[in-house]
Amino acid sequence: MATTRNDTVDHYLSAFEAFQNDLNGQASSPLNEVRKRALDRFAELGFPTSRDEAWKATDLSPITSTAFIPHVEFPRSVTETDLAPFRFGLNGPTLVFVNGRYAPDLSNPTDEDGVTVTASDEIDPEFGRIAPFDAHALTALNTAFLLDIAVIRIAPKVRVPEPIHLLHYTLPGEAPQLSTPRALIVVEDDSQASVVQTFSGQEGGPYLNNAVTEIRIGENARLDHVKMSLEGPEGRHTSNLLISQGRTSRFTSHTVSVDGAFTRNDISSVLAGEGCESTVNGFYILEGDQHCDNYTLLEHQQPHCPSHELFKGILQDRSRAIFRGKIHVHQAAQKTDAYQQNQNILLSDDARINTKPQLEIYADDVKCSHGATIGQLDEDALFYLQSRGISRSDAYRILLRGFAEDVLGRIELESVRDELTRRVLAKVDRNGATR
Amino acid sequence: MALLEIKNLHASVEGTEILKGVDLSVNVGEIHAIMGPNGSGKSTLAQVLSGNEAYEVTDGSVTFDGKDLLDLEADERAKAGLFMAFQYPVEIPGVNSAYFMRTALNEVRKHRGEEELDAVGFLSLARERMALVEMPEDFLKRQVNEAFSGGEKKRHEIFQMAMLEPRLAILDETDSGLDIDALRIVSEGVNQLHSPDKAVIVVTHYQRLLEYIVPDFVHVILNGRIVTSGDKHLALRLEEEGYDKIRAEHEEQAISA
Repeated sequence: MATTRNDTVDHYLSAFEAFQNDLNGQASSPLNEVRKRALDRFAELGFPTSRDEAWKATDLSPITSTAFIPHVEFPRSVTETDLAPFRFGLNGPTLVFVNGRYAPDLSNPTDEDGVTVTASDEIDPEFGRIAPFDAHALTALNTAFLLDIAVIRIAPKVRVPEPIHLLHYTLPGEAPQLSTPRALIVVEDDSQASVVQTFSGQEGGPYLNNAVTEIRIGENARLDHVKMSLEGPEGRHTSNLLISQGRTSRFTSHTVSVDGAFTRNDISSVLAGEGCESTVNGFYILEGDQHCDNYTLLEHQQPHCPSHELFKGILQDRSRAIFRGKIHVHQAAQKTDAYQQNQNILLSDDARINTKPQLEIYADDVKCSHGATIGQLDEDALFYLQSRGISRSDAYRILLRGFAEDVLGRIELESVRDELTRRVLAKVDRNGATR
Repeated sequence: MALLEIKNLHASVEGTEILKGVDLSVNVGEIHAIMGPNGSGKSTLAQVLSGNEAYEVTDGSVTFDGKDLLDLEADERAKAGLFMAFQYPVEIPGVNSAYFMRTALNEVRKHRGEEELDAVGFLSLARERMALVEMPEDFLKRQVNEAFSGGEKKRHEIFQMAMLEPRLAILDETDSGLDIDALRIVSEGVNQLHSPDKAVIVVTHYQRLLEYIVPDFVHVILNGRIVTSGDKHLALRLEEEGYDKIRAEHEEQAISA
């Protein structure tokens, strides 16, 4: 097993050969050409280091010190019983991926009435435009080992009635595995859709889910997006979410990190059309030695765009969180109204949070605000609840629930919201005994 | 047997002694006023009785309904029938008022051996009790004390008291920050809730509130001790003379003793 980050890069270079052999004849496809170029680029870039601004506070060793094995075949069968807890009662178009591979018998794809939800190993003309691999090492790594790509396309003027679900599930194998989930989501002009991405996994060993999602939202279109990491206890999760928004479009996103040993979320939203609105919210709850890192970048390129960003987190035990949020207001982006907030509750002396909001403003007529708070649970509020007959442990739970609801309550899909709230409270309760 | 019996109560906060031997006996059916200037220890007494752990009891005893009150956690005191209306009600963002009140009420009801209320039962009781303090119904949909005005917060406290029906209510400077109308509403609420099997302790700096909630006994607390007690006329005397005269008298007594 590799130990240094250079060893690990070398590991992926040599693993690529075996991977190519396993592909059996598909090695001459256009996708494979992209894979090869991406691998070359990954070899040049190497893993990010703490010298990279976007990775400064992150200890990437959970990713770089293990040689995760890319694979073509998926090892064991998964049953509906395994998936049931992650279905959230969503009955619309669904694609299930097991260890990165599309599982048609568990899925419900569609290609009618202007709604396309399919898995593909072909290169869509728009593939990689919003998420190019040349500047982002983990995107290059994702592209180098791509297998099945989730493609969601909504034709103009279509309102998709039910949420679309991309459900990723990982069964850890004997050796640590690499999966490379990839999604391309295009919502054309005047359309409306809701997409849920679930990344889930079992206990049983370490694995890496290195996901990339690229989203284009057309003029006056609307997309509601929820991304959840509910990985297995040793699962590591890296995600690069990139969005490009057209004129007067609306994008709302909730990135919720509940389970998994290591989580890194990159979210870059380009407000590329005048008057578009972007809401990028997030929530994380950590325990044990869990690590969660959120890096957001909002590019205000055009005038009259509001953006709202609220990330909240609860840290227990020895957990560690990082929030870095950058708002970049370009010179043309007059009348920008950008709001960013990061709030954290630390429930343990050993938990650590590193939070850094950043504003870079080149326009002169804008409204931008940001703030970060780090604190403990409010003793006065605990006493207030107790003085009304509520036990201290229940008061604790009520306050933490209230803190979480501020973000989770904004998720429009009720079944998703309720299940996430339940999981967050379960995590609070698990640690309740130590208080 | 008195409902509340305080004997030689000493309490400190962060190592500084605030209560230096308080004795007080409160029977059912009685309304007591505890008056004193800022820093005299009157709010500390309210906090200690309601079980705020920021205050440390260093000596003395308190029995409530025959039980050792100091042995109980704050929530157990509430369940036993003690209620404090906070001087500064705490804002709790993210927590819905109805959810909070129903949770609290059902905890208290369970303890009393009463059936828990479902959403419908809760709402009809809440409506009735909100009318008592002229609170609009949308209060229940808001987050606890969040963005409430000062007067709304105080009315919300009395609403909670009306819901929980405590045997002993301690009103900690409930009059502060209230205009005349709000003061009247809050006082009428308290008066309507009072009954021969209950008791009230009104903690206040000013006599103003006592025009509406008429006390049976008035106690003056100075420097952590009750220095004198009387009937409602003592409050009027304080209003006219201020605390300085009584403080001077008390110091003389201390010296001559």
